Amino acid sequence: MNSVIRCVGMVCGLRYKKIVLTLSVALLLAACGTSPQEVVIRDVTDPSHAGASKKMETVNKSYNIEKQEKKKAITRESIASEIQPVYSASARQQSPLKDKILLSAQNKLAANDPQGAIVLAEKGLRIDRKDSQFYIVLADAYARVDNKKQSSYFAQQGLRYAQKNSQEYRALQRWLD
Amino acid sequence: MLPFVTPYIAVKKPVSRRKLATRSPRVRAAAKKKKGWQRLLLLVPSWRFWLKLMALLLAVFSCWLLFLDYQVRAKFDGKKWAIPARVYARPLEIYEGLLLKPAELERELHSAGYRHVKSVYEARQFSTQTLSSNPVYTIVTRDFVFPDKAEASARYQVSFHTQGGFSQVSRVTGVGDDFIARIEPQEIGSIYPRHGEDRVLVQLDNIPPLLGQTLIAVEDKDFANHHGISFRGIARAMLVNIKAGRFVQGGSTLTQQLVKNFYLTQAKNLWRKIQEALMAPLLELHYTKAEILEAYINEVYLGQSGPRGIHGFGLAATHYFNRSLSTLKPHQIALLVGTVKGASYYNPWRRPERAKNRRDTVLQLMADNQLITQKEYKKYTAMPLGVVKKSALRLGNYPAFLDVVKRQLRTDYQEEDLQSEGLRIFTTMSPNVQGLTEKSLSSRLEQHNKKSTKNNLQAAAVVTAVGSGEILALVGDRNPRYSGFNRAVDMQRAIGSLVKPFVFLSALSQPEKYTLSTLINDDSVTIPLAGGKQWQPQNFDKKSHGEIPLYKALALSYNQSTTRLGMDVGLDKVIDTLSAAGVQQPIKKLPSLLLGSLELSPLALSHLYHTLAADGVYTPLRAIRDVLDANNQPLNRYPLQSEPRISSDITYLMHYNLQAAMRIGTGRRAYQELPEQLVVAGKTGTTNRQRDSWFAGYSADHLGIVWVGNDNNTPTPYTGSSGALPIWTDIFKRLSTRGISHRQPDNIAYYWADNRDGLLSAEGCDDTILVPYVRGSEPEQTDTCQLIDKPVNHWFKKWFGEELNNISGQGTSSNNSGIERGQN
Repeated sequence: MNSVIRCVGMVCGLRYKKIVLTLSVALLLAACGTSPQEVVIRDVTDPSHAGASKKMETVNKSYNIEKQEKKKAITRESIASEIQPVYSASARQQSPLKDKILLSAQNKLAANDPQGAIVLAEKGLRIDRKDSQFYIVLADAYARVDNKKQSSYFAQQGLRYAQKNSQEYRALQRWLD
Repeated sequence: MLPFVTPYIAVKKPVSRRKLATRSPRVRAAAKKKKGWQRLLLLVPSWRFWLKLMALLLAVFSCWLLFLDYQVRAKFDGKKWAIPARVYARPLEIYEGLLLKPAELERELHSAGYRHVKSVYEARQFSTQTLSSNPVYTIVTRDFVFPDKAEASARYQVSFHTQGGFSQVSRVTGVGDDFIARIEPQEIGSIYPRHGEDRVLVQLDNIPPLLGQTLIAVEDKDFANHHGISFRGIARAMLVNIKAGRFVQGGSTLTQQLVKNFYLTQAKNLWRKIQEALMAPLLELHYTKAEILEAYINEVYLGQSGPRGIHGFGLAATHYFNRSLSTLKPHQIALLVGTVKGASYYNPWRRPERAKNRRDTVLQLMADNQLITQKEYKKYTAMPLGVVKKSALRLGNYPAFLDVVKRQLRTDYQEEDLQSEGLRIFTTMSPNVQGLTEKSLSSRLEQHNKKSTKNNLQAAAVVTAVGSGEILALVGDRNPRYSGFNRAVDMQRAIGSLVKPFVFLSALSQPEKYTLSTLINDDSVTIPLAGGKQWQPQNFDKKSHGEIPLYKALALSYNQSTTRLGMDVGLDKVIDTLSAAGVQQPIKKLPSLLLGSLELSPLALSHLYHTLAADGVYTPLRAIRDVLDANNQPLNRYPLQSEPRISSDITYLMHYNLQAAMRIGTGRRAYQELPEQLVVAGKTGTTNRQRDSWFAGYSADHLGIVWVGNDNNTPTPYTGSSGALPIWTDIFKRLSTRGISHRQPDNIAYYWADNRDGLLSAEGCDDTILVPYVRGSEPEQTDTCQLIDKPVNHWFKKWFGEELNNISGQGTSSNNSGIERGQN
């Protein structure tokens, strides 16, 4: 190969390095202009993209390439461009403080002190307003003080933050109207 | 007076014929013989008359004495004083993981009356040190009765950790099994009677013995021996006054002073003096010396703070030294006792030299009476007065916030009860956030008004905690101390473009018809009105922008496309959305509603945006958490109430759109100062001719509404972006707050969409954006994609990725990062 390049160089009067460069550019242009493109749409939870541990999703997409403008038509099959949820409702965030408050609130309920439970659940929500466990306490406590409406509202609100079909989710559904 | 006058009047009257006729012949004969003056003498009533008169006078005096006795006992046995309601800020609760800056902690501690010292040795002090380049605070709290329990004084150590511009509490030592170090709240005001008397009651058991002894030594040496009046004291005072040639000493006993202050008026006349002289022994008759001394210590006037009279040593200790009475040092006791002679005359702020002389005189008396040693006397006279700075007299410093508290209280309590029952009211105000808000608002307004002498701009701001609906800060004037018109609550102004998110919410509630990428028309629009009139709203830049994606129309606050969209959705639907979000007043069904002709106060507007920030859940905002009675028994709680009113899916789309407004739209200048990784959402608002400049924005934890404008509704040089937004940015850049989390509802999915046709596209294609859709509402795919060699890192994708990094535990803006919310 080297001898071929040298011969071409001698014929054309070009130096070796310049020839290598010219050929590389030509090859690159040829590669861009010929084969169907494979586009990789990364799942944003892809570890290579964001450090999370979810599997990488690769979608092959065929494009009709218009050589001059580099325009590509996306076919119907090139679906699945949906990005996976970034962060959907998940398991409860652990915290000794929240656990302590939750336990105290549950103890208040067990001791038939719904008002005390409400105070503690509100305190818990001031720390994490999206912790569905505290909404369970509130829904339960308001049902006990015969405020079914507020009980149902808190249950509805808790459902927004509970993982679907989780234990918390089912517990909250109990308090819906 | 009548019994004394009557005999003399009778002398002058001619004696009637009938009376003369009844007299004996001997008298009549004698009378005829006597001369004129002798005859008059015979007319003087006999001794029987005088006896009867004396008996009558005695009876009247006895009745009066009985009446005075009744008065003395009735008032002393009953409720002696009207005790004002005390209003507290919310207590700071410190726990591991709390987002908090050291500067914020210090602001909280200073506002609660803590002093920074090198090494803590008593309550209400804190010290700082640095360990491994992180600050560590040592704090000693004092005993305090919180609404849930009484907490004893404790010593805590709070360590901080700072990463990526965010500070959090990394460790708290000294906490019990509830993991929380709680700092007692600042007293932010009191609701006192019209006569303005304020006091903190103290019981004799809690009064330092030195105070009682000093008081007796200075004011009434014979207190232990006399029965209300000290003749020896009067004689001594007279002698001193004669020697001095002027009035320098009074002869009144402590009992007499108490009678004067407690039962009588300050009028200087003989009648009052007589009453005082009678009531003092009566008081001594019924009550012990200890009871009288305790009453005196609680009654005496000791200073003035604006309209509020400082009565009693309990409140005076806080007023002058920000300490509890039991912790006062001898020289501080001396100053307070010295002040009894004349609180205004010996005012330590206005007349420090005079006050010091008086204090030293009292110290001398203390030494003379062996209450302190000579060594102590020298030591204490060398000490400065040590009163708090005048600027630190904080009560009544938050008039706008207190106004809201009072309004809320008046719906549940009688005014008289508030002024007299000694209620303890625990509010939601955060001294830290209030301080930040006041400072940001005042300094920006000062800058604005300096630019032109014509500028006389006013401003108002409300900051609330997202979720709990607690009002953390409220400012109603560019001078936060001004207690007049409360713009944050009473001012009704057109909200301008701040209404647009609710127009777009109404549209997005029909996902089958509108998504964030749906193209809408921004060409000029004409709305026919009643009476053949027409309305042609224009964009702020006076340009039309053709077909644009819906999210961009809101982010860039285009009027023409908003009007067209609103009319297409229907005014009824928009009104329903506004009502669901929290507008309580009737809304006029006018097309101009779509561009914000609706007039609201900043507080009312906070309700609307709180519903947005809280994922579509309406929560009535609150300024009060708990009310306790004077014995610390709970009277009332103002619990969290909430009602999910707007779909969380649709609210999520709006979070996204308002984040876009902050990244690429009218709110983008905020990021010139905010940290990039702090994800916030917000909307600017400007009304016709720039009469009003609004901004509403929120993070995960805080919502802030700011208004700037003129009281007379004249135009200002500012838009929402140049007037109100910088104030909001100043607040939020200093606030410990978490960015909005991307915890998306299950029914939301993200797709790349083409900005030009609103259809689905792919990553790497030119002019695409990552957009959330309600599942099933995503559009068809576009048929073209122009790949770009170096795709610009999309604003959403940028922090999208950062969030994920944070979730994996490297950052600070997510729940998963292990950082709790900022408790402000």
